[in-house]
Amino acid sequence: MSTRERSSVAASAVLAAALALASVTSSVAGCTDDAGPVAPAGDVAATTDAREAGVVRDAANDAGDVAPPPYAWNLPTGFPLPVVPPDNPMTKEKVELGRRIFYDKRLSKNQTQSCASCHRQELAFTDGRAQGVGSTGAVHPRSAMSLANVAYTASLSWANPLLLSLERQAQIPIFGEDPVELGTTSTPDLEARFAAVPLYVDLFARAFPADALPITLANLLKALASFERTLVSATTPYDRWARGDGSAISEAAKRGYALFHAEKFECFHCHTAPMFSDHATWVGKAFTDRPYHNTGLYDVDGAGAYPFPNTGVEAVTKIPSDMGRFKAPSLRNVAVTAPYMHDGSIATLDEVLDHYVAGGRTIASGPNAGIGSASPLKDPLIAPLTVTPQERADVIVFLQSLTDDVFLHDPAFSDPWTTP
Amino acid sequence: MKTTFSRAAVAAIAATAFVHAIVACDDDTLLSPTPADAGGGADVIVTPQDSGRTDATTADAGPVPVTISFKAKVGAADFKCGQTYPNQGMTNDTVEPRDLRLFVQDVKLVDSAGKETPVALDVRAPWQTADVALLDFEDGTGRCSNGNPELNDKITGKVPPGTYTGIVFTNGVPAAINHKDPATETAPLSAGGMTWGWLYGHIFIKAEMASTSADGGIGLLHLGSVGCTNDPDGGDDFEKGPTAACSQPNRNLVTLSGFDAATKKIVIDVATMFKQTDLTASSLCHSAGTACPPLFASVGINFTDGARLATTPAFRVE
Repeated sequence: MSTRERSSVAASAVLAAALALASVTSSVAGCTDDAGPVAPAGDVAATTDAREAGVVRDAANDAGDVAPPPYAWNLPTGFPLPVVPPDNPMTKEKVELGRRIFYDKRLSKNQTQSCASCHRQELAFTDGRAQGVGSTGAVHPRSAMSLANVAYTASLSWANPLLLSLERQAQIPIFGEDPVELGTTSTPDLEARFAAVPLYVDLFARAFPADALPITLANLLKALASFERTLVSATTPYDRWARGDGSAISEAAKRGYALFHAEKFECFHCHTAPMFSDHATWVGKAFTDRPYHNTGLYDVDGAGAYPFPNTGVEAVTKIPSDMGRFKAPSLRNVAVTAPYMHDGSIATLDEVLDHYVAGGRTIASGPNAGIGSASPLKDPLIAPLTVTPQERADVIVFLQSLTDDVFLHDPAFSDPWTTP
Repeated sequence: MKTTFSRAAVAAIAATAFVHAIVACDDDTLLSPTPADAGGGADVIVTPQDSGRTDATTADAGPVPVTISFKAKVGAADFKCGQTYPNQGMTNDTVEPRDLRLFVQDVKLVDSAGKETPVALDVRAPWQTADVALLDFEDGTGRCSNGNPELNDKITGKVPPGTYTGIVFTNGVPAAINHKDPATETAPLSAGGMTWGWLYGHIFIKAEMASTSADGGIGLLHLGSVGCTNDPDGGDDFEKGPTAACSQPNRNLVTLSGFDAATKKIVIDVATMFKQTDLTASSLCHSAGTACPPLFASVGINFTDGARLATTPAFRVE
């Protein structure tokens, strides 16, 4: 029995149980007023027939196939498969629906923003801003993250060990209040905005054929997550070089690659290939780590504090040693995702290297003043480096080889409302 | 009621009708199942629950209905969205409500001997399940525009007959259900203004007052469990929420004497809540930050360590 059939039967059973309870109770209580829909004598047989009919319908939808065919990921040979939640298997129908939703301003209460407002394909699904701006103008304390290879990240957001699925993460921008992002406050209103569109009635029905009423928040989130999981960046010049095309990147980039992976720069510990993040997982990966690192970006109190509210994992766990710990984001497409860091406080890749070469950032004055390199909470791998201008330049050229032009212009990820 | 006609809503409505049917037979507003919805129930064996209570119409010893009434106030004045209230907060600012909603769990009535008797909550969609109730004093008007028109100022349930002189309750959502996915929960736990996506739980008390002056000041209390974390070995199990207990559950204990449900109401006084808050500034307490200590104390929690306090000044009986 397929997952879809299982969930269909389970959901129907819940409904029938609730209705049966109501009608059975009416008779137990001895009510004589039978205006309500007390089940007729033949009801049990009738519901059995209805369920069987439902199963037959589902089977018809699957074209007689009990197990739906596996989703065609179309990944380069050797590139790992993303982990997919068991209750939301990939289908092309869900991906198609999710792409529509991702680009749909109906997601926001005032219908001015969609996911794409802060996650623009040409910027590897970032927004080019230091900090995001929501549908009501509220400024987010943090920077919009790239969605490239988001399916592989072991937890979502900059520093939230609670967030393991895109289905739950997406509820934050939709419903969040401080800051307001999409600003939606009512699930029924959100569902009604989509149910009013004939195209969605059709797309939801095809994506969730087992559901009698498919336009629900839960299904919207499943479709959105399914589309996001297709946002795979695996065709950079670096990837082509790694697969054997010796001319795919320049000699400078190859030198930069070697420096990136040398113990001198230490970049690779946190920005581990192939995702260029150590916070990555995939099907068959032996160990799923969820590391977070304090890189000495701030130390506002001499004890390692980061400025409120961007205290990293500490904001969630309240564990003091989690202060300033953030996820190492993927460096794929990093050349197009400026400005950098969780709060967009570094404008260029060159200045990012300044931070790491110094072994932590020093802020001379102002409310965030402090010597990050002296932070007691800093990851020990972040230490001052002695590097030549040539080495710095080579590392940056290597980072530029992680720009995936195919990904940035793939029509499958573009706005379906303007470029179907 | 704005609830959409989803399967979950149908189940909730049916469950409500179930309770009504036990209590009285005059309100048979059960929804008729449509042919598309009826199905799959043949193997469900229905046993009348609480068979001892089904003859409640003739026996006197069974539980009796109780309604616990609440009232939101700003000092002596009634709380209402769109109204302005002078002399509020530590700077005596004029303010307007933005929100006031509270979850309540573990309601118990107390008799004169101090014995606590749990109130069995009615299942009353969309406000109550057997585990939790939502009080809602914002009507979506004025600056409460993030809310909704529906209001709920009462908790209904059943208790054994008795003479009760006090009440205890907690503002919270029980831990066992607090962290479930709001997208698949039914009201009042479903996704919306009382869910806390980034902390994987619900907001137990949401109170917001905004200055009417040009300073744009706002006082905000969002109380909920913090310090929640995941099992580091959670692996790829997407079903898991936070698997370790939250280090600061932030569930208070409101203990009020002189409460007779038939004649008294429990007042939630927002003026007291924000009395030591600077309402000319952005005084935001998302259960974190410098604005929190007096707000937490007003509802009975020590902000520093999350301990319950003996007093809950924002609550009183009238």
